[in-house]
Amino acid sequence: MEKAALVEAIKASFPELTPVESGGLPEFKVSAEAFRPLMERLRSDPSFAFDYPMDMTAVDWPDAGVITCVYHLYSLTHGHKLVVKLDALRSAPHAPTVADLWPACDWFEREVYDLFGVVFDRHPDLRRILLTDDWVGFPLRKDYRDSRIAGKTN
Amino acid sequence: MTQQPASIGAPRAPQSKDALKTEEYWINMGPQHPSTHGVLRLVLRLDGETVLQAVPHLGYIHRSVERMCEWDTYPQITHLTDRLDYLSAMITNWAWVRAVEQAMNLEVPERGEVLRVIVAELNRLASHAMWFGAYCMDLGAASAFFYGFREREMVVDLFEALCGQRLTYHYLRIGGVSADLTPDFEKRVLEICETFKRALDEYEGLVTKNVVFRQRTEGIGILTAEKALGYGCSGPVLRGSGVKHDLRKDDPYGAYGRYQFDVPVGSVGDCMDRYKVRMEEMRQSVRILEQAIRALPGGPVIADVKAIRPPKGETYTRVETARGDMGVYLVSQGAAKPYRVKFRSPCFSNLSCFPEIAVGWKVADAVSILGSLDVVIPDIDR
Amino acid sequence: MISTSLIQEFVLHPGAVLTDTAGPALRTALAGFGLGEGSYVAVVGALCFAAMAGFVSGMAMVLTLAERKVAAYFQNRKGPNRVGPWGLFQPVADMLKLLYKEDTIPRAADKGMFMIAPYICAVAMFMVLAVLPFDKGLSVADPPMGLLYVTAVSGLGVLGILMGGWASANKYSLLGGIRSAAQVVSYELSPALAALSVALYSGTLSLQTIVERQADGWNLWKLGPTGWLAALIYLIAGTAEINRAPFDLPEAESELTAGYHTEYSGMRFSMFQLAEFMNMFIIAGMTVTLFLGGWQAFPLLKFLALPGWAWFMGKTVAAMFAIMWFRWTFPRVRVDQLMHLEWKILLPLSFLNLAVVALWVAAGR
Repeated sequence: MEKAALVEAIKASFPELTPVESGGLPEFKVSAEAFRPLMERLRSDPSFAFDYPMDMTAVDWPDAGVITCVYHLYSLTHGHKLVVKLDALRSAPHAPTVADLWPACDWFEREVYDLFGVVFDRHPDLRRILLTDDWVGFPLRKDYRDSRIAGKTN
Repeated sequence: MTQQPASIGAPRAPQSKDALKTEEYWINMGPQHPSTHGVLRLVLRLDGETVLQAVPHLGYIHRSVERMCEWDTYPQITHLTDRLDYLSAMITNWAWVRAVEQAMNLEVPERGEVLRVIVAELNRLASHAMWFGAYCMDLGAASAFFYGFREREMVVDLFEALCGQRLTYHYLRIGGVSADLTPDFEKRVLEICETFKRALDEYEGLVTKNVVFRQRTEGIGILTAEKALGYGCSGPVLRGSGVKHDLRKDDPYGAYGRYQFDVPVGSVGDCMDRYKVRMEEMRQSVRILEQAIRALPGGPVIADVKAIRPPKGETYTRVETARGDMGVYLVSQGAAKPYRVKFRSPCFSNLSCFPEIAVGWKVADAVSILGSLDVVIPDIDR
Repeated sequence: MISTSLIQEFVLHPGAVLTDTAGPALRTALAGFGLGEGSYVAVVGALCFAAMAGFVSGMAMVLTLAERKVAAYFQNRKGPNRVGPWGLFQPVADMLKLLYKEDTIPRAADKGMFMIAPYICAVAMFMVLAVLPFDKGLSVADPPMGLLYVTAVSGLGVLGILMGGWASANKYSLLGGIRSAAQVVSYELSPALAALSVALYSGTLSLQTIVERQADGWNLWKLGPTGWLAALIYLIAGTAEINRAPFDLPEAESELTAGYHTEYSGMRFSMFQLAEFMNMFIIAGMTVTLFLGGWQAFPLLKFLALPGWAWFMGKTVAAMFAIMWFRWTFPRVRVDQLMHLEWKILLPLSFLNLAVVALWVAAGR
């Protein structure tokens, strides 16, 4: 589907969502309640058929007080791409898991938990993946400080 | 001798109550192991020789590259990307510089684009040749390791003449490539093409048709297309399972649109299919190289760009490395350094399917499956 | 007393010289000291052991270098060529290195078994080497049921491997030891049956007699197609019996790091290696003895007048080259595929072969 058509189709099914205006990929920012239904629909509906989880990551916005989880989805059948964003509060970051929809997200979400501290509810096996199990802190957060790093402050 | 590998090593049926009582045990294929291709720790739960559960432990070479990207300027980050998937360093460079160029809307001169294609395909040849050698060595045919490296050596020598490096090239820069070709480059590339054509026939004769090799790879570690998609596998792993997805064809970038080549696809998704896909990919790379080197446009090799400060916004770009889809997610705030960079590693997703497809096979098969996934651990751990 | 003609005779027919000249000379010498037959046996035994030990040491050194050079040339490179011309002193360097390596024993290891295991492998190897006929009359012993003895004793080596694997207190070693036990025990059967067809045809179990009866032609073609099949089965199954690639699962380097000898270092490790290399020599030697005429000359080349041991060593070297060739060409089989090969393919074939030979012999050839 073309970008405009895709955006229209999703808005038709989920009227409460507003697309983010950007020159790049079609993008939707969703709330935690609308997240699961949207993802399930994107996965199962043959007209969307987002069968390929391209990427899933997070960005820390300390000024806004959120950690944004970013999902890049791709449909191999139709060839369209979509970006879904979900904000999690920095004070207690939670997000619903999509590991049951796309097995790749199992490890993607573990990585986001490891580096940002976002807890994914109902994830099958949420533990650190890249750092040691007893690591304290979440290194990709902007306020992460480690005395062992010399000279870098931002 | 007709082989039915499925009947010999297929996943076990659940044991009945009258079966012999056996004890399970855990074995550690440690971070240091001849076959884990880097520092990967695989903990296997075994019943005799059969794998019941495989738990990969990552992070032994986690260098927090993504954090370092927040401290380095955009050109400085290019050197970090060499050290991700170091066996396809040229193509990994390309992933990053392409992301920045897309964010800045920077156009690369034509000659630069064609040179990028040439070095990327040479890199793919070198990477697959090395994979071939390592895979055969894992399976026990140690001599094939040297044959693979003998061919790879030609490519690496050429790169050394071109950019001074044999592994971490840093040849692609934002806006083009760092240096123009050496005078004898075309001659050497054509030599490499001829050598690889001959060498691939040799490998077919020695390895592909060998009964023992076929027993160790046919029917082993079957990854269905559906599972491959779900796990986000890409590259030869996904194509071996029958899904015809190659970024160079589906989403052409650079100068790929002007060259004729085929995308090999497997059918069953076993180790042999992934092996065959890579061997055929080498032939296709030779094909692209022959087309590209004979039609080199003139002009500059790098765009004249002064300040590299992508405007505020975000972008997502992908390239096809030797291992699969490498993605770069770049969030910029308009500064000289990026706000957030995420490298989507193909090996990360390729490895994530291993715990599922290795269950039920023997220890020797686990080694074969891991080798056929072609993982480079620094790419996974970043 | 030791004239040049005697030396010449010794080179051409060492067996005859030892039995006819040296033996009685030793007996009279000992009688001169007032010592009888018992001491003669003891002295001869000691001399034989010294000769075997010397031969094994020398041969093992040559074989380690040969293996590395052969492997290198198969792999498009040169192999050791720094230590001496063509790397000839490399084995000396290796020996020195192994001698001064630290002798580590894992804390959890069963010390007694750990220390004895390599020597059991070596002893089993020596026991088979004793009956290998190098030339007419030139074998340490020639029991009338030599073939039965070889079959019985060659399996003892697996005890050493199993002990090494278990006593190392290491799961990799255990896996390697158990794989080896299954492998060696299974692959005892087909070579035995293949050798049995030769014994049936020759009408004897004594190895020297089997060779002597190949004066008019080697068993390889005298037995016709069954000879080729039996020789092939013997060589393949023999390679599996000595844990050499493509059947080197017990020490599968890419899977188990080093299998049963992971925890061994220094002289103990070199004992395992010694046993492995000499086993290769023994399998090659047995193949040559049973099928390739032993120390008999090739019928058309008898005019060359080479001594018997030269023929034996030449043929054995050719057979060892073939075994090395296997190692550097084929990938490794998986353990259940290995069992499948033996129990479902080689064993039925060798039974069939034996049956055909038996019928043929019964029908009067």
